[in-house]
Amino acid sequence: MKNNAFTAVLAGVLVVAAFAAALLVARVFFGTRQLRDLQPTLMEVNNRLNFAQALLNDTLEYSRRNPAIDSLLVSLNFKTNSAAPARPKPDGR
Amino acid sequence: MNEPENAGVAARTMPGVDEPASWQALHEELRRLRSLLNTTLLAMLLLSVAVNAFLFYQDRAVQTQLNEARRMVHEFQTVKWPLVNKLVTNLQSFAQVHSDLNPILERYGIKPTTPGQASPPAPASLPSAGRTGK
Repeated sequence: MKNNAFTAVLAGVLVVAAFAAALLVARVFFGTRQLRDLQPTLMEVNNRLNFAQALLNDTLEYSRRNPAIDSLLVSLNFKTNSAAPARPKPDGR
Repeated sequence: MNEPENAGVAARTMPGVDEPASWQALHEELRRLRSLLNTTLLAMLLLSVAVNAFLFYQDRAVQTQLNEARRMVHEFQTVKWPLVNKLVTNLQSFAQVHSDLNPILERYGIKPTTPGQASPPAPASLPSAGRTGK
């Protein structure tokens, strides 16, 4: 009788474990599919960020030649105006 | 399974006491079968626990990656891309006064606005693949 109960408990736990495995497999399957569907969007985002970074780098390079653009870059927080105090003052103090 | 065989063997070997011997053999066979079933169930349970542990960690990794990707896309759409659009629009406006900026804008496919234009056009569409601009 005791042996029967042990077998029944084992079988019950095994059934529960099988259901848990099925649930986990479903979660992994659908999660992986969603991740795969997001890949093109992520690539597009990376491409656009690279594009924007390159444009910003060129603009910052341009700002060395033409500081008039600094106000624009500072207003968008792409450049800080912390370099201004570093300039030598005209009166030499 | 092989109870009739055992019963037959018992009947042949012990003709006078075939019934108790048959029962004893049956009980022994049942005990062995139960032991075998328990062992099999235990082995399957152990295997199932290992598979569940692996699936659990896989699931956690996939969900983490998924959340990170969603956060990245959301941040790009709500914060970064509007900022880039604003930069491009401001650069187009700046290029109206400082024409030496136009070569840079043209390099990125951004058309400078004409001075008479009421509102600047939307920034040029971005390259679809691989351009880094470097």
